[in-house]
Amino acid sequence: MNVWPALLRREFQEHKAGFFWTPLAILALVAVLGLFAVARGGTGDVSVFLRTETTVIENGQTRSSVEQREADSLIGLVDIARMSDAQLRHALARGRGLLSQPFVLAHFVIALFVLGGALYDERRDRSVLFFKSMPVGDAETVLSKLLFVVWVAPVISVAAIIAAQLLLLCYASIYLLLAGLAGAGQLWVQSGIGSGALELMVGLLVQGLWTLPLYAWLLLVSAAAPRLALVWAALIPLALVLSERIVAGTSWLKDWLSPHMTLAALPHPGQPSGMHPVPRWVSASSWRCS
Amino acid sequence: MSLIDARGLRKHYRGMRAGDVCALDGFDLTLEPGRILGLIGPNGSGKTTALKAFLGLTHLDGGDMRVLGLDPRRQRKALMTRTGYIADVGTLPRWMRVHQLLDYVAGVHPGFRRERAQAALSHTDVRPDSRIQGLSRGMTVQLHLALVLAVQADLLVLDEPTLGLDILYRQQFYDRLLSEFDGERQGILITTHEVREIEHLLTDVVFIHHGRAVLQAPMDDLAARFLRLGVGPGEAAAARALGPISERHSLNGIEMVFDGRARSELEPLGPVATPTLPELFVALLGENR
Repeated sequence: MNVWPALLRREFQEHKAGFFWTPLAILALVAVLGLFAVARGGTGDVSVFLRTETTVIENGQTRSSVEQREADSLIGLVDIARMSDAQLRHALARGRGLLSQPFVLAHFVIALFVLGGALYDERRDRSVLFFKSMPVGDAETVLSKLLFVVWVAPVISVAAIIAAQLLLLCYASIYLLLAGLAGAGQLWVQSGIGSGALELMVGLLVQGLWTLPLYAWLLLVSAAAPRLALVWAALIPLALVLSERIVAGTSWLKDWLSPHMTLAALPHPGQPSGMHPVPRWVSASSWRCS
Repeated sequence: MSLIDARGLRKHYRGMRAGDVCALDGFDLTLEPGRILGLIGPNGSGKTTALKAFLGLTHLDGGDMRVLGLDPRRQRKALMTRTGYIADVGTLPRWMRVHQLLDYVAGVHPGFRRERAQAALSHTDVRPDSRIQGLSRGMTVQLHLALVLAVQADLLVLDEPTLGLDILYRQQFYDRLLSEFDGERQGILITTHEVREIEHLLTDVVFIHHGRAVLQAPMDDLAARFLRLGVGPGEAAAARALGPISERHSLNGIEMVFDGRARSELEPLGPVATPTLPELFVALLGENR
């Protein structure tokens, strides 16, 4: 009997608030803030991740700063018409990267809490006895939790991110059309939304692999900790890192651990220096393939 | 083939404060198809440890055990397709809704017949969209029993299933259990403190004390083997000469329980009756042990 659909559905139901309603709530926030930005005509202070696509700069001072700092800075909708394709593409890619961050960050934080509590909560409320009374192997149970958090739930986040991108592009197009400005068509042509979605998918797959040691560690602690699983999960490596420093004076463990606790593999335009070499290389080569 | 065949089970808990606790100390138990076995013992006697061992939920330090012909520890998944288990406290996941729980069991259990569970639940106040958290203890037990009975398991393991239920729910629970019982192939292993309530439905009984089976016998044998004698002070000495296994002072005089004495031997000394399970329990495991 294939128990996987039931196991994954169970995980979804248990963590619906975290992995379904949270991205939806962020999407709703983006929708509202985006509308707000467009309605105000935008002066750049509405929201960091909306700037590139929806901010309209109307006073001369800001406009000149755009010209000075080129595409990396504030770009208003009115500027789209006179931007080169390359500038527009770069600006939109940066916008996509910024827009995905609240979703990705929320998923990461929720994943830490969910995995840190997964097997602990079941022991605490004794529902582990019920789940163990079903013909499901321990390996299947544990893998289903890992698989769901690492590779199934992110699909929901990706869908929400793409929805947010489409929504903001719609806002911007409508604004341009209503204002009688050119560039709405070019906005969609250069949006990179398709390749961006692929980048995100591949990035999440790689990110899942890259963070797997951390996730697996959390799950292990949640299966064994007598209480306060997350505290144990943080204190044990911390104690090991400190003792290595005191005893050997080295930081080998810390150097190995810390890159795994980042979102390094995800598309992160604008700040490539934050990436660890390995996931950056894997992600970059996958993007090139795609 | 026996449903459960356990020989010499041993289990120690290494306690940090209380020192080592011996939960099972050479425990034996056999359950045949068509039997309803009551596992009866005081708190801390090893009942729950034994049940967990049969279900592969705990590691044993020694002994031989086959449940449905399987090794519970290594073949738990196969064992659980044919075994139902209700623990002493509500173990159904509290965050789930009833229909989600039915979906889940239907999705992982090849023997689960959903329409049976739904039919059983339609006679209760449990609604499909109720959250388990919001159900009363009695409703939770009804739900769990409906799930377990919809599986048609060969072996049912019930650990204090009616703990904390009022008399109506308890009666309903056992009525339903018995009405679904398949005397050809099914066996039930049950523990409870309400010994008197299940006495009439048991076919076998095991008394467990300090991790050992003090007594395993069919209920019919108990009636033939044990007798309770009420004696006045005058006959007490003569009765004691026959070797009672226990002696208890009551309002009506002294009550003694005898093991293996003929009714005709005791009748001249006073009124003779078959001891109830609780009386026998106290006689065998009472304060003098």
